[in-house]
Amino acid sequence: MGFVGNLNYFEALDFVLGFAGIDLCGDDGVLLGKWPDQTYEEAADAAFEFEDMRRQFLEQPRRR
Amino acid sequence: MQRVAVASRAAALLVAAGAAAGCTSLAERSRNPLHFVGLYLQDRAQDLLEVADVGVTVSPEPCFAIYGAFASLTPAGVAYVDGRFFGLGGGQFFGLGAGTWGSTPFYLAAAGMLVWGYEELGWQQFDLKDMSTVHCQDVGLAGLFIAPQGRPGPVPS
Repeated sequence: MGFVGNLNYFEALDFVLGFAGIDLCGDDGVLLGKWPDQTYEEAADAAFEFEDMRRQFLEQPRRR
Repeated sequence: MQRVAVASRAAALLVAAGAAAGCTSLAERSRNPLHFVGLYLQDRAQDLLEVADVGVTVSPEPCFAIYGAFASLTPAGVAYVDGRFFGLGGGQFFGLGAGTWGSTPFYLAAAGMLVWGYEELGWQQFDLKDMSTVHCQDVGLAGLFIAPQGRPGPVPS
């Protein structure tokens, strides 16, 4: 069992600006956001590339 | 006169923020004006539920986590939690907003060495074999200079 305490400053700004129709975090209507300079398709592609990189890192042979 | 100047500056700032980040996708998602209003309020509620994460985690397997970071700039410690979260966080409140009731799946893997850290954060629906469903990010001062990884998480936090 553990405890979590966290404040998301950017999300707070996203909440306030959302009233003016600005989606700072790119997360309106979707579960995961995107970086501001990306489209959702580019974000999915970048995540796929990163997954490949991450897998290679985790599967690299251990040093003896 | 001064109020007009302040208002125009605020409007210019909003336009700049909108241009940089993008406007909401409400117009594409809504089917009619009433639906538009409903989605608008739903988005605001979702954004509000994402402002803070406060709760308790429970995992079936033993996990370990001592991790903290101020404004994503001073990550320190290590954390690995793969379990369930009870409370407010990740756009849900005791499962409300996530389609469940009581708790929601939660995943955190993080390590921080003050100047640099790395975080993986999963809420609600995620697959650890599919990084497009998990927030991944470099944090710390060094993280500012590293290209973004995968799907962004809530930074700074």
